[in-house]
Amino acid sequence: MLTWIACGSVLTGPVSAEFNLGDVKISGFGSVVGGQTLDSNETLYGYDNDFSMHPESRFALQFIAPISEKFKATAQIMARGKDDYTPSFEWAFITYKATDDLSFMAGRQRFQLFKYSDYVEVGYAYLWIRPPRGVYDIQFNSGDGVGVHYRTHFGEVDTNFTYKIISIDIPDFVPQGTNLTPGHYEINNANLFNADLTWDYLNFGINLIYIPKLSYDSPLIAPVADAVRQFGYSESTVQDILAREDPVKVYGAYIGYDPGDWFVLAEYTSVQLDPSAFADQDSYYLSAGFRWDKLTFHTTYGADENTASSNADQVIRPSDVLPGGLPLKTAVSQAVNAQVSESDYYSFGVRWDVETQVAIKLEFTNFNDKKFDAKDAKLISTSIDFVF
Amino acid sequence: MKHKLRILALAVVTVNSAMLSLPAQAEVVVIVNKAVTASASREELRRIFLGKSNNLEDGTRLIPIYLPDGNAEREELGIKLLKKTPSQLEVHWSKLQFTGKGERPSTVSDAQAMVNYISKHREAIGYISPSALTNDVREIARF
Repeated sequence: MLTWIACGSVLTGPVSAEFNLGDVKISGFGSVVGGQTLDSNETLYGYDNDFSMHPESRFALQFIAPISEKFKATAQIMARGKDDYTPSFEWAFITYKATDDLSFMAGRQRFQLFKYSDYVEVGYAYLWIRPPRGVYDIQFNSGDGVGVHYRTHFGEVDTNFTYKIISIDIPDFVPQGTNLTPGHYEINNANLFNADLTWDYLNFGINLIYIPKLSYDSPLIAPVADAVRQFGYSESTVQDILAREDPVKVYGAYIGYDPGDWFVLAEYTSVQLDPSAFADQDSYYLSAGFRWDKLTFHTTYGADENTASSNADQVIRPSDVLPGGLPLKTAVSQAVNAQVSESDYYSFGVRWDVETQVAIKLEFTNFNDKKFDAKDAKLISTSIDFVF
Repeated sequence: MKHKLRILALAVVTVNSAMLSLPAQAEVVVIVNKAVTASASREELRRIFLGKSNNLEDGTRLIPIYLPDGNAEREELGIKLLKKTPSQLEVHWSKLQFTGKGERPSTVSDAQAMVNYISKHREAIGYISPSALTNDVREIARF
């Protein structure tokens, strides 16, 4: 206290280092997550029947450096258990704050496909151990580009609007949970628009994304497309198998009501692709729960349906047979239906707010594959999530 | 100056002992710099303390300053004005901070530091227990 008085008496500006805007602010978040499936032949979300803390544990540091009154630089470094905690720059962008309510960002930044996408890694910020996977099984959370964020209010309704143009170029992309040969993945100038509004206990938002060009040279698809080309089919048939400069549309909407003691939330998302071997995706989930002191109990039901975006196999002649003896029609059919699936899941969980910045969670998930019973799985997972 | 300091030190001791004897003070006073003449509605204050806006309807710019986590007045303000438990408030700041849409507010160590800071910064707005209120700042609301 004496020190403080001594400080205060000579002070003309801020009273402690905490106000020193010239300082870089360091903060961070992390989740230590462990889980295992209940049966020896089950796998889910990267877990199997042996307890593992690898698939979902992560740790991040965020640095915010004020450059001037209007400019600041933000960097976020993230290390994931599944990458053996090799750190990478998730964010590296500069913000220009035109007004308190309007800012522009340029550089590598997170983008919001759906409600939780832009903080999907921050386990502390939501109730589940992982946001419903049917919706949030997204390969990327950040990309390079520019964005604008505007906030305002209409009466008692608070609103946020963001618009971003983001590109992603990964020369050696390997889809999550696979050990495929790396392939080139590229998204050019994806347009992402989000609006959300909060009115008292009601929360509503929409996400609209248009990707003019998406390309992925998948090692599973290219040989099939090459064969189709060699049998003399038109280039448009070949392009209905390949994902090459294909336009993609993504829609999402969510609505929630949270008066404090209990809550309900629903989200729906849809991904519509130009015809290729990759499937269109429709997903939704419903979630509800109640709070009792420092405990929140919650349950979620979700369903996902992936349908073939292409019917290229229908134009293939049954008489065309590959050198190995496999009919070309079968090979193409397998390729365009490879991602077709239908599944649903439910979960029960509890979050315990141990301290203000620390939460412990326990969750049970029952996943049901409607096409392949062998993919059904029950998962128990637990986590400790923190921010600092 | 020396004399002034002694009075201040005395005030600090008095307030500290007062806080010890009243563990859960029911009221919280929202304070601004004396140069601020505007009035503020509950809704405007909620928006400012949640980092959703930095302006009152009349254009007055205000930046929220918080007391540290665990502080009784912080909890009171959370429950009465912001309708959030300490954990829910922390979730709120985490979302803003880790999406790049905002920053968590600066904090000062205690009520005296708050009064001192507010009295020196025209755009700062904070809160204290009624017993810590002095003539150096202006009360804009009480919950």
